[in-house]
Amino acid sequence: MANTPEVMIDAPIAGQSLTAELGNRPWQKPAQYTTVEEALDFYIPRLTDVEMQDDLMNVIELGIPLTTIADALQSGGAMDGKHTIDVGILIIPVLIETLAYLAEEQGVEYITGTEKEVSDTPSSSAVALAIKKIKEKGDEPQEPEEPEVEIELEEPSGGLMSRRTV
Amino acid sequence: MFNVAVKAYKNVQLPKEEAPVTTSGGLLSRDMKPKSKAGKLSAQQRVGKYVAEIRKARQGLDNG
Repeated sequence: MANTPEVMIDAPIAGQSLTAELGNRPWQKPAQYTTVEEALDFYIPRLTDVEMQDDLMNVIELGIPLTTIADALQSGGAMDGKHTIDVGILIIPVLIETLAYLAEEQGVEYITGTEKEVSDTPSSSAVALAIKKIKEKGDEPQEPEEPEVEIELEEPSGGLMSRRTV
Repeated sequence: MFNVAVKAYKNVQLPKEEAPVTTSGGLLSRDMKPKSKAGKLSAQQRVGKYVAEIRKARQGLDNG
């Protein structure tokens, strides 16, 4: 099976990280919120904000998994220098649970993102096994094909007493 | 694609419910209040506690 690399359209240009003075980027400075509680105090009022909730519920209703939304939220915060990546990862479960709570409160169906995917495509191990079986079948001596039975056409006997066919 | 949020959500440590500690109220009993363990909790445990609280509230929504 061909392992095609993922196309990275919005990837940074090589060396882009070196285009700014070290320490000028927000994530290179000390984080604004250093504890889980401080970071949650920053996020939870934003999530429960009435103005933001409409957009948030629209995104959830579109079928974007809650894990993806929470990850985007925390990585955005880390890039803005609000908190460290460690604190961001720690608060992810709380963000997901809060999003699920808000969605249920509003009656919006949501996908957590932890559900097992049911796909029609067979797994790579199943494909490998099938290929092996086909190869093994190919190595086995094939049974000789039965010779085709020739249909003998009855030749009209040309005896003196034979019946004549018209 | 690897999603760190999925792993973080799956591995959250939910607190186990502990049986309430009964204290004897005799005259000669020591008046020692059990120390709260809140200060000793790690960040992961605190997150687990918050998740459990929100989940409980969410299940309360389902049950009406």
